[in-house]
Amino acid sequence: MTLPDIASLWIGGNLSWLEQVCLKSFADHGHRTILYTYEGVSNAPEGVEVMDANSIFPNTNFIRHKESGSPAVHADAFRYRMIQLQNVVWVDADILCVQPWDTQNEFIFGWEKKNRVVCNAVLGLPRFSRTLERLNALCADEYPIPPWLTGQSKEDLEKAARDGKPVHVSELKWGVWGPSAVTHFLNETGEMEHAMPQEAFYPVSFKDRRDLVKPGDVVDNIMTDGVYGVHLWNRRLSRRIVTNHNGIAPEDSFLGRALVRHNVDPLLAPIPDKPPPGHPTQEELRRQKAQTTAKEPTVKPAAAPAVAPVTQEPAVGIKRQRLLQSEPYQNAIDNMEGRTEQMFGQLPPVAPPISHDRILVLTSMKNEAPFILEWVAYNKAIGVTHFLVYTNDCSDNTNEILDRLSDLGLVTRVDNPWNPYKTKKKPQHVALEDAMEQPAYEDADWVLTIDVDEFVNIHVGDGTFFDLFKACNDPNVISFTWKFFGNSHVNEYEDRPIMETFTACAPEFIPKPRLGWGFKSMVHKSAPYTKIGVHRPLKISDESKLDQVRWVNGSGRMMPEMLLTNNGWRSTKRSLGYRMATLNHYILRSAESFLVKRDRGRINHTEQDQGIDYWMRRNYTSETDDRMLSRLPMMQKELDGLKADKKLAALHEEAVLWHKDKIAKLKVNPGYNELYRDLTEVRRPDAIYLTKPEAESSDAQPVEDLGLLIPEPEREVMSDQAAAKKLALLTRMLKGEVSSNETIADQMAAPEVKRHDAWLPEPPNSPMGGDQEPRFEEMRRQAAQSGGFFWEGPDNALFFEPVGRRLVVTFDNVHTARLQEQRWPWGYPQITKQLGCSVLGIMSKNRGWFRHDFVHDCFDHLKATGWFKQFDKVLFYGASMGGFGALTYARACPGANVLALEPQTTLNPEILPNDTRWPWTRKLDWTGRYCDAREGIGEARKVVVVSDPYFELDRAHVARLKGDNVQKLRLPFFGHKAAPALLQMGNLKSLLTDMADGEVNTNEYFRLLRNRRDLARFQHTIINHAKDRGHLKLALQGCEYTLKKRKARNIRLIKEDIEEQLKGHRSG
Amino acid sequence: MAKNLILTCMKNEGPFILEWVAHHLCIGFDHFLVYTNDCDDGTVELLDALANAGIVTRIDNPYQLMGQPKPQRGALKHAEGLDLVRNADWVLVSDVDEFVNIHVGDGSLDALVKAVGSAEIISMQWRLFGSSNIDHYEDLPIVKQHSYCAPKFCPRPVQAWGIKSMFRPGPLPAGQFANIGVHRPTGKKTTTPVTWVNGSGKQLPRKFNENGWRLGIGTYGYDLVTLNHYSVRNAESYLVKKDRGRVNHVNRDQGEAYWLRMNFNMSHDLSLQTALPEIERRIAELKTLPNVASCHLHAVKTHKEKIKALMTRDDMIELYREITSPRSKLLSRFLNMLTKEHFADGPRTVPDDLVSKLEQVPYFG
Repeated sequence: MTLPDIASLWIGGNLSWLEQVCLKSFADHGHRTILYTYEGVSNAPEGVEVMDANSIFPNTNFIRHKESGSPAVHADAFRYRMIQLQNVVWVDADILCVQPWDTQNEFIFGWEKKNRVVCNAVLGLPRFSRTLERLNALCADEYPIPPWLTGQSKEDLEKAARDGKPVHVSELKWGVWGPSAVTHFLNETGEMEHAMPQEAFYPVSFKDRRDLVKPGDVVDNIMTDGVYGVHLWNRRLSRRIVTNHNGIAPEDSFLGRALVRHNVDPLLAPIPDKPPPGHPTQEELRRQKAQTTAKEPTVKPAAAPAVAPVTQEPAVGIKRQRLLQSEPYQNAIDNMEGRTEQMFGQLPPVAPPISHDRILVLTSMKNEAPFILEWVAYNKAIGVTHFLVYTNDCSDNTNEILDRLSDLGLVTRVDNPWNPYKTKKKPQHVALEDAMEQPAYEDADWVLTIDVDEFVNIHVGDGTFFDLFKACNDPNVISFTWKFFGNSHVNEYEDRPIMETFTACAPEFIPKPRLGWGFKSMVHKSAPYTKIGVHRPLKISDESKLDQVRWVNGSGRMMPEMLLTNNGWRSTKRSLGYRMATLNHYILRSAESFLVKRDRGRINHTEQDQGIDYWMRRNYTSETDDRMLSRLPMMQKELDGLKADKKLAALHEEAVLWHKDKIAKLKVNPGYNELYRDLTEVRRPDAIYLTKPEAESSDAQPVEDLGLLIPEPEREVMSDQAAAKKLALLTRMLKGEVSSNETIADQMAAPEVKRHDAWLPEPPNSPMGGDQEPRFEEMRRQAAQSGGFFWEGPDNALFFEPVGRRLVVTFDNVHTARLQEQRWPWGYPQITKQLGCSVLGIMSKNRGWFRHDFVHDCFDHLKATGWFKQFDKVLFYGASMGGFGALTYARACPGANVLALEPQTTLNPEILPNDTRWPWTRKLDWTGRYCDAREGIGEARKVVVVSDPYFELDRAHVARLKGDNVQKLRLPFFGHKAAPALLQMGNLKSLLTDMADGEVNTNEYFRLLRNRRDLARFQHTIINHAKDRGHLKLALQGCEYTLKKRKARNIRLIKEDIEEQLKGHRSG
Repeated sequence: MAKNLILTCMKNEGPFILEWVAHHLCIGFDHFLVYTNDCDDGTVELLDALANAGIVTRIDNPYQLMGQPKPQRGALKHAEGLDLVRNADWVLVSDVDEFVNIHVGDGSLDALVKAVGSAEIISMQWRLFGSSNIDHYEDLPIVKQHSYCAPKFCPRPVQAWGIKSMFRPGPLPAGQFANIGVHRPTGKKTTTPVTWVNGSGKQLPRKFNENGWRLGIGTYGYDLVTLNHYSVRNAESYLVKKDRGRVNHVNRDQGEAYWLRMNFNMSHDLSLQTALPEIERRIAELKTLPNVASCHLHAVKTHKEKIKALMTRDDMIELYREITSPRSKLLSRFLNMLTKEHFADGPRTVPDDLVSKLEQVPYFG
């Protein structure tokens, strides 16, 4: 058997280690490997022959792509001629060979995207191939009209040719001689039948390219016998290696292992640090960082006492206004932003210089006359220079006011060309399309699309856009997330600033559904997008320009890369940010104005009704955000300036009168009158307690369909009784039975918990000499305040807080032990607040499986002193590492109950040699006291263990637990992810509640388990599982069920795949 | 007391001690703290003779009293509490088969310390020196006899990237670290960043603060200093070593597989040869100290007798035959052609067709 010869072309100096390892991988697998160059290279790896490219294609006629300067067009033509002349297989220099290419076929190429594109990064064709012939014929013409083009683009080219001005290949769209040509001719000639599946050469898709440099074996796991080469997506991946990995693939990544395997020293052939134009090199970045850190000590903050809400933000050096919300919600948002802060940093500080001179606001309006001036004044105050306003069908004097502002040079007003009879598009979208042709748009540096009820509240510096740009390191797109401001009993309309009147709003964190996390964006012209959408820029001009996008969220953090192209318009857990700017959305205003608004209809959703449901779903008033008050003076100054124009002032007065007049008229209409009385005299539940608030359902739904739910952050810290009481009240409110005069404050207040007067043991005789762990600061304080104790050892700590006469002993797990925030025992809020149990938390500073004398000593001591006996019931509780703890230490309290999720029994390699999931635990001592959970459960009253019976590693542990008192609950198909799954299905709460009393209701467990059908993780697992085992129809059912519930691209693809397989079965 | 201290453990290393001490005295180390256990070849006597001259402090390794299963760990733990260690400027944990080889300035420790500036820890990387195809033991300097070694870029086996570290003790035994490890300080107790460099003076990634006993493809480096590692010496001495067991990994087999992965005769490095005259002069000087010369002679004699005795045992004859075979010598020149599995499972797993291909490569050694 002879292996085919492999060849590639290299243009541009010496090779980097990435090309070296790729080329060497072919040589090492026994292929003759040739590298063609025009200039020669000095560092081709051992075993690779360097040849003169002029012998194939003289460089006298070298073609570069006009726009990008890329030599790829030339390389395309080169490879076809090379294949013809030399009978070799072409590979791009970023294909890594993983096994010899003894495919027994002269046609060597593969799908990059199944049934759509054959990439030409790997191309082997026999000399007689008709595809090869046609490709060479195509490339012989430097003014080609690609035969696969249709429609306008084809006509354009043909016309140009007729006019004697044919278009040169270097000016055509990217890749005209490349993959599209190859794919077209292969189809045309029928030679496509030789196409190898995607896994052959492109097993790692462009989207997943980062897996190649991720530590671990993500990529190795998808390697099958069908993988011949791996395309490394050099152009984008190498940049990432430079920026994120110091220029060298991590040794324990797929690519790093390739370096070791092929003996390529990356230090000798570094990847050049060539950033996209306008971006700094890594060296420049480092220098800059060194400078800023060096400067820091010299700019010590002045000793002047700071005003309360204003604090110094050290990273930026700009003062920032902070908000304090009610505790559960504040904690929730702080935790979330704290976590994303670690994943998405600030932009690199060196930005290409861009102009901030002209900031344009682009908006649509209908009948907003009395509210225009304040909004214009505020925006002007924070830095907006011009307004482009589209209006349609205004019956008040909106147009006149805008036209007067236009006379003053501040506004350009355009009649919205929207015509309901000609287009199905919505007025706002028509306006946006039209706007891109307007001179006002073309003049602008920045474009911000917001409506007249939206105010960008900037919390840094003096609250202007310039301060924001500075604080965010000069981005070119900024997205501001909404915060809904409800109506807090403002009934009558007054001509008073909106930003002063309304300060009651929604909390920043609302777990589900993600209402109100929509965002609006401001876009700089330099950002490589081609379209402005309502919420964000759309249609990136070229995927390769992603590097030029500098997009931040309202906290000044970079957006997740996925969001840059996916057209998403709502913030996600990862992209939500409120720390530097908020988009205050005054969606309701006064009850009287609401009547007018309802009369008008919304601009975009023209057909929807706006009744009491609409109101209720948007009436968020549980928090207060009054940071806008400090911006009032600057707005007022601009407003006074505007009103100095007599004509404008008069028009505004007129608008106010018109609005009041309209209100008066509406209020005599019986329907509106009733609505008004409902709005003002009946107390309705706040929107955060509704299950289907804004944007989650059609507004036409009747009130009866609305459900009530206390959101998790709040519910978690409420006792069951308090929650039941609150829900009862909310239900009455929903039914309209609570009048606004009724006092409800005392009904909402949480009942005082009477603490169990527990006696405290002396500390044990174990060395307490641990360094004080900073993450335990708040626990120390809480233990002291609540009359509990806090014992800290070198690696662990015990925290006790007395609450009720039942005790839950809860253990840290690997996940919680690593959290960087202030720590609490696992399940702490639920145990203490909801269940009213006392808590003993076994905290771990590291992931040491409690294998420390300190913990043993503490439990021995608690047992010896009889401390546990003062409690009515004791439950030992934990997951994974915590499950080990719960099972093992339960012997310290005979008669206790145990709830353990996917626990380990021991990690002694001599007992369970296969469990190598946590390699560092092998070094721990698995002998001596409390070393095996199996021995810990004998004296327990009832032991409940939850785990996945199909997950071998966990099953081995659970199988070791035997006894009449042991009950094993199955949780199939979740692997080692029981805790999060149970949490999502609602099982965890009911299990813990039951087990605190020592009982478990299996019916309830399996009833709730059915909720797994709606967990994406379960859907994937079960569908793939069924598919892999050949139960195609079952898998298909799973897909259909899932797709009925949600749109999921990946599930759809699986479904198509299965359908194809089924078809194959039938015809075969 | 000691300014630049070397901390080590020994078991029956008698004939090799003098040269090792001499070399490190030459480059600027001034004291040696040696823990010994179970010696019967004159190691203890020789060290005590050197101790009388104030060069060495010898301590019977108290690992069993400390409840430590492994001698080396016990010794390091014990050393953490000693003033001798805590008051030293620099401490290097190293073994008697490791020679510090400095390439900057005049090759002295001072020149190295100057070159790395403010570094708190210098991790020197092993370069594995093979037997240079020497089968028999002679009382000659190791540095003189063995000059064939691993190439500078040598990703397999991972031992080629192993390190030993030199650090400055502080309020904690190892500067910002609480414990002295075999390869590097462990247990960082502070939050201030530590300046920790490799053998090229390049800062190591922060991840390294937590663990790692070796460098890797991006972090290796020999520009300033190399730690020449003569772990196999000659075939005969290797038998003695094998019989002795290692100080640290007492359980693991030390037979053919160990020889295969440590016996690198691929590249040639003479950088330490220039130091040879100085080393030999210093050895002669040490021999003039009371008892030293006689103890050394005794150790050499014991070593030779030991070899003789071992060569009567079947398993040893078998091992000797394997490691001195032409096949073994051939492989030692082509270790980069072998895989991880070969290194783990020993030379017998190397396929014959690979060996016959390698045989055809011309050799002008």
